[in-house]
Amino acid sequence: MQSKIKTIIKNIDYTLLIFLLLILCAGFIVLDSASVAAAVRYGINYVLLQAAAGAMGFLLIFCMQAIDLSRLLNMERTLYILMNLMLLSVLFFGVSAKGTQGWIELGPLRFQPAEPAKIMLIFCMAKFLAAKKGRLKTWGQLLPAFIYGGIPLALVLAQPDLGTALVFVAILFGMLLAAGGSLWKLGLLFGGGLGAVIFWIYGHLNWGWWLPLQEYQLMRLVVFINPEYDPRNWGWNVIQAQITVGSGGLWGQGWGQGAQTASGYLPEQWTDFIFCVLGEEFGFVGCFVVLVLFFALLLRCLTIAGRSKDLFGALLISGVVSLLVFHILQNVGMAVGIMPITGIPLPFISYGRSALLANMIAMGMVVNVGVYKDPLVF
Amino acid sequence: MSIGSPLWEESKERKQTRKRLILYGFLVTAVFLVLVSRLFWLQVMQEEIFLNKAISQSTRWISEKASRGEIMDRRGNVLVTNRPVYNLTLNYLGLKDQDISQVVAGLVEVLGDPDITVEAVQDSIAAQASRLYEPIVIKRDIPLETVIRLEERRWQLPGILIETSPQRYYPYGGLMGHVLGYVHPIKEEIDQAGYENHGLGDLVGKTGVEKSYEFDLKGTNGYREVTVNARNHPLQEVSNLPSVSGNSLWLTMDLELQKVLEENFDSVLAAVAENYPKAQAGAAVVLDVNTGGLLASVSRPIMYPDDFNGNPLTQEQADYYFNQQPAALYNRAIQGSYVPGSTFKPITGMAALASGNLTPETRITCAGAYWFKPYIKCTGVHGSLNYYQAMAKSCNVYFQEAARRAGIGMIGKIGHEFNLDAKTGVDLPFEGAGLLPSLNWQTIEFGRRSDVINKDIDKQLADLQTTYQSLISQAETDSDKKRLEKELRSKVNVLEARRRERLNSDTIWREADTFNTGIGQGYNQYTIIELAAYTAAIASGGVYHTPYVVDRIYNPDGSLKYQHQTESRKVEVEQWILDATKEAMTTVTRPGGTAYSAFAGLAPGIGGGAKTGTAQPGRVGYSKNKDFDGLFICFAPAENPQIAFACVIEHGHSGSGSAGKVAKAVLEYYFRQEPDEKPAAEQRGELATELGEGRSNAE
Repeated sequence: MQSKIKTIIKNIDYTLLIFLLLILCAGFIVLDSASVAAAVRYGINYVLLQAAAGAMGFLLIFCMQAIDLSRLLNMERTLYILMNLMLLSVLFFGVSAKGTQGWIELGPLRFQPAEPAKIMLIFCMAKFLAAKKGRLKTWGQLLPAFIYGGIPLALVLAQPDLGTALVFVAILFGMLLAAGGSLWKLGLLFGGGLGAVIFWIYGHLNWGWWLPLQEYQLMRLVVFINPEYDPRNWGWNVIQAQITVGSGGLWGQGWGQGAQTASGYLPEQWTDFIFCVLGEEFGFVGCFVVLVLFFALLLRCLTIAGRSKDLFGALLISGVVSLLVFHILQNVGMAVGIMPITGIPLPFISYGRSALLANMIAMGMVVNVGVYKDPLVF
Repeated sequence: MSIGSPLWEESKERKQTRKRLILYGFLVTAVFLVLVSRLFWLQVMQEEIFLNKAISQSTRWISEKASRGEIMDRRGNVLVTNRPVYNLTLNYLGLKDQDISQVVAGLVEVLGDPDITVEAVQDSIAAQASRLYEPIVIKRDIPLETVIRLEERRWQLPGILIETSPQRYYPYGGLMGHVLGYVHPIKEEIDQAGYENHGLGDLVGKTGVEKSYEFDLKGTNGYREVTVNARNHPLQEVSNLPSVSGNSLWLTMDLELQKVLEENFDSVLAAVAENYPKAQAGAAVVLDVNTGGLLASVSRPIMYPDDFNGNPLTQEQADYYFNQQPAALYNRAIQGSYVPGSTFKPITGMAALASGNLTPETRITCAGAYWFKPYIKCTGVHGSLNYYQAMAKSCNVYFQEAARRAGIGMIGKIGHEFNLDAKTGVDLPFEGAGLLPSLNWQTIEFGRRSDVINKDIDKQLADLQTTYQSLISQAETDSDKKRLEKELRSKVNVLEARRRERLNSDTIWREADTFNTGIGQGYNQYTIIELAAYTAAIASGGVYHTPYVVDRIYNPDGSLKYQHQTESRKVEVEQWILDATKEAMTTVTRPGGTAYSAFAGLAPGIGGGAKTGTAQPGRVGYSKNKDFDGLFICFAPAENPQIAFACVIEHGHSGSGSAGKVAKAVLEYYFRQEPDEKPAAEQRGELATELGEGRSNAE
């Protein structure tokens, strides 16, 4: 027993955890100036709350190493059903916040099922795809995987939570890629799907086709293409985000010195638009450092995946990497104007405790694969 | 489940998975490269652009209107000042487009003001489209009760602000209105030179002293540079340039004299209008003989500067000021040209004396009509008259003969010496110039006319030639050709005859024109201030002072910025002629003179000189031989004159009976003789009697 704990502690990938800690700390620094106005208005110390959740997350990561996750594979069916039930319950008992019915209230607790659902999906998908052992070459072999992932995706879309739905799509494609899915078939599906969606929106705008998007979602797409279409309303965030990032310059305005940040030109700057604050106050150099940390973290994850004792572990990590890469691409992309605006937070940096804990658990899974990389140890 | 197995380590699956993970690594790298490049472009390449955008969207220059300078009369009585008023303004950026109608609907409900409609507010917004971050003024000077009512309903009216600002205030209402002028929001001036420091929404002087001294009165607007947050709430003041109030003006005007002038002008006008309902307009000017300073000046119909004070005019007001006849906006004292009638006779007299063909003692016999064509009738049969007697009786025969002896050249020269052919140069805007039919004027005017006539005839000749040339070229026989050529020649002759006839009638100065000019009819036309200035020049013994109204300008700190220096010019007329003419004018004020009644009430020893005038303007609205303007010029006292006066009452019918009454009141006040205590109705009765006999009295 003693030796088992020792081995676990020895096997933990501290490089990964150091990257994670650095990213979290960078997040606290940015959050401090991003949340000044909101902190005063709502009387909440965002940094403290976020730090507490971060500490709890590290604790969780360590606790999670007690069991080899690959021994829990038979929980997959239960988890899959639980996940879908959770997402289904949102449709009936969900509480609205910011336009989507994402929240569920359990007594005093309030959480977004979408966050644990991402983790559960990764786990279930990894098990499902590992069982295929790389046999994902024909349409017939790919179809079950799409059905398996498509059910929770449909439930999320029904909320409607377009942002999380896109995260599910990213997880699905990323894991299929790692699992050895036919490259050209996946490319065809991805490219074709993207093309079809663009054509559909084009048809809606020009010929009035029916489109299952709400007005605000459509407007976000319109102003993504032309921010000046409505600069004071829908285009506001797009324009202000770029002004805020761009005015940071090479070195930034300095911590707490961002005029755009301080004057409240960006809504949700402590959550969705936190990267803009980083850009304004710490400049290109600050952004570069944070992006390099993320990049290092992700490459480290992929390295661990390569050392996995089984396909399940490798897929589990590639799912986590998909989750994070998509969040980063979408969140940073929206701040710099190369992605339309969606309510997707920047992992480990945006304020939001459900998301932070979910991401920490995801990191725990990655660490777990590394800890149990040798099948003969235990 | 045994997915993990020792075999995995060497399996083909593992190799394949590692390949895929490496591929995935490249994909992740690509994502980060895209993000970093975009960040580099935004933050390093485009930094300046975005920085400027950030600064410009968060910086506002809020102008702080300078307090406009005050205007005082010669004794320091405040004629124009500022008082704090509440303005209803709209903070446009605090609103979204769709909210405006709601807010305005709320406003209409609270205010119950028919002027405030959605359209009116949208017009105001459109007018200020380029400076929407500045508050848009919806209504100036709202009463305190409304302010309180609005403050109670604040929460219902987002974007509505109550601002206090200094508002121009004219304590005496319409008194001196035309001289003071009015202020109104800036319009076309904004593009004119000198107005570079004015902003939209500024009030500028549009007439009177308010206009001519705009740049002194305006002051310098201050600015506050503030940073604002996304909701346009000011966050902090970056810099502050305080406003500097305008300079204050001290006029030459005399408030008390002005009151006397206006009160009496109105009562005389009302009395005249009882007999002659067309009498509604007129003007008068009182000048300081020794400086040219304007002591008082009136123009009717009255103009109330407050009517224009920031708010738009009602239709009724617009009609009153601009459209009706007579339009009230017009300052008749400096903008209106009037046929002078007999008030021109001193010029004729001086011209005759200067010509050497007449001496003051030369006697000319009036038998009731002049002996040269067109035999213009006199107002009576005056018999043998010298210069003084002729002036006292205003004998038309004498002055026609004087004009004949002087010649129009000399009349023009003397008129020019008294500046009757140019603007006086008074420091008020829109001054008009008179019309003196001097030789110079004739050259220009007749040249212009003959150009018109020649052009017309030449065109007809050319047309004729073209027509006939084509006819002649088409003619079949020689005899036809000859006949046509003959026809052409005769038609050309007809046209040439017509040219001679028209040139003869329209471009040649006739003797009769000289006679008419000599008695102040015909082409003569002068402004009232021109008449007053010329009267003052005679009174001062031949010194012409350029009239002026602003005497001193003080900086806001009280230091003197400007002191008017009298502009004087010696009239080039021999002194004995000036003396004789001044003397002749004093005989007009003595018993038997046409202006005796105006001077009868003055204390002994004061006296003065005068000339009455009854003019036939022959303009639209005047029936010939029925409608006359009454004019009156005078100076006083006879020895060492101090004031000169000129007055016209349109449709006043007789000079002494209308304008003379105004002169009487002014003189009596000025020389501290208490005015008659008779009730106004009795005065009017007396006036009517006098007017009845007006025409039989020689003028």
